[in-house]
Amino acid sequence: MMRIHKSIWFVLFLSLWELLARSGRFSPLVFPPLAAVFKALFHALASGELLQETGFSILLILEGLLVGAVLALLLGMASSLSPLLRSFTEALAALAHPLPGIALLPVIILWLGTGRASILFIIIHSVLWPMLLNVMTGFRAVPKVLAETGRNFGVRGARLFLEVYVPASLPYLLAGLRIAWARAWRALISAEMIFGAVGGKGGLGWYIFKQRVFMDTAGMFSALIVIILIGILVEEVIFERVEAATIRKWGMTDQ
Amino acid sequence: MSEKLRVSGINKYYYKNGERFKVLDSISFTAGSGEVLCLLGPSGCGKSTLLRLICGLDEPEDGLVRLDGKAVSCPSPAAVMIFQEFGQLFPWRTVLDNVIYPMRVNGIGRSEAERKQTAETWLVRVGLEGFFHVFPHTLSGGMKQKAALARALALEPSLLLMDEPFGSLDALTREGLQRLLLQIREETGSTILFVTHDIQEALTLGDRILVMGKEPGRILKVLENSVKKTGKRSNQEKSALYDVIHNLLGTV
Repeated sequence: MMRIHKSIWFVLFLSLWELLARSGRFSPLVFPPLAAVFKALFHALASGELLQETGFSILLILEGLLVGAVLALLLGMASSLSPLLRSFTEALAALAHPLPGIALLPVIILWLGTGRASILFIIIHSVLWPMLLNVMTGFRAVPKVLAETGRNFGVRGARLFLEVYVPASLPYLLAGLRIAWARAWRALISAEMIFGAVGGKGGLGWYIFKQRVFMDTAGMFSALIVIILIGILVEEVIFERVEAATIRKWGMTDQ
Repeated sequence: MSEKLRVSGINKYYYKNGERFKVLDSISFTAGSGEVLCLLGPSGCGKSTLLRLICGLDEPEDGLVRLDGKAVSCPSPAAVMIFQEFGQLFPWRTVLDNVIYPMRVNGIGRSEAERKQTAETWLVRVGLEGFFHVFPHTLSGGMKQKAALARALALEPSLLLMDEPFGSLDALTREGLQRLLLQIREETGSTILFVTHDIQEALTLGDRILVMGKEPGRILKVLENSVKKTGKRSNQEKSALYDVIHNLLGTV
């Protein structure tokens, strides 16, 4: 039922857009008709340019997500080993977590320049801290009886973390990954726009920025559509499927 | 009956706001091989704490736990604990895999196929045929405890520690599981330490009953359970022993 309602709204939004565009009140340079947007989308996809830029962005964010998530897991494990490490990690997270990646841009440009490494740094920053907080909360929420059962069976060290703590805190880890993805995706697009302008290369953000420079408004919107579609794909399809195949299947969602 | 477990001179404290409370006071007892020993006492008498010390999950301030002559210092599958909580099965593993996993960790069985066969045999023995490939959250409480029992038995532990494992079950299911446990003990000759606060349960299961008192937790008396040994004797004898225990606990 919800799905039907949602798609009706989508159609209404698009119709309203088309009506406004055709009313003649706005220049197509400011407010392009849908046909122009989809034509631009089709051409950009067909020429391979938009796909290349999308691929560049996706690869970057996957890399950042992977590094950030692994770092968060390692820091989370370390912090559950001793109170000293825990307070260290908590202090670090308290300092870094409230900082939007974009606010760090000038510093990062100063330290790392404007290349791919800098964008990666921003993505890792956006992933690491929310993920770390969820890892730490998740580990603390692992039922005592499961941890003790594991220890009783002789599961120790890294194995205890990977085979008991990680699956037992998976609802928290997946929630953390969702937040991390959302933040990283936003940070990535913004960073690409700025770095692209400075002379770096590629990415969806840079593509949008470039189309604005050329006054290709329809092209700008076509890239926005790609961003929306990827967002829906990841959040409503990929995360949904992963959750259905894990924590929902295991009955771990209503704890 | 050779000696399986020796607990000697255990003192355990618990700290709160800088104050020290004695939880267990000079606890000493032994359990023979193949014996079912029930630890019976009111809640708060430290019987679960005692079981945790024997498992190696906690450490006592004084005293020593010896299992098969070796001092226990950390948890090991030589003494497997079955908890009261239904949540002790790993929710992300199927029932069968819950049984196989600890065997794999401990290198029990020569191959994965052999482990699978052993696990299936135990699951069938506790009455869970047809539930091998489901996840624990779909099982009832009684079935979860059966699966936990199968998982423990598959490890062939030297000692089975049971911390009120049937405490959260309805009366009928509890009786069924008590019968099952006694049958399995007959077949395997397992040594079992069974914690309960239910006098009836202790009379049903225990070869001996260790009656505990609280503040501080201590052993009041060790009773031979003549009711169990002689089978279904008169209700009179049963209620006499029941009264003895009841009076012991009543004086606490």
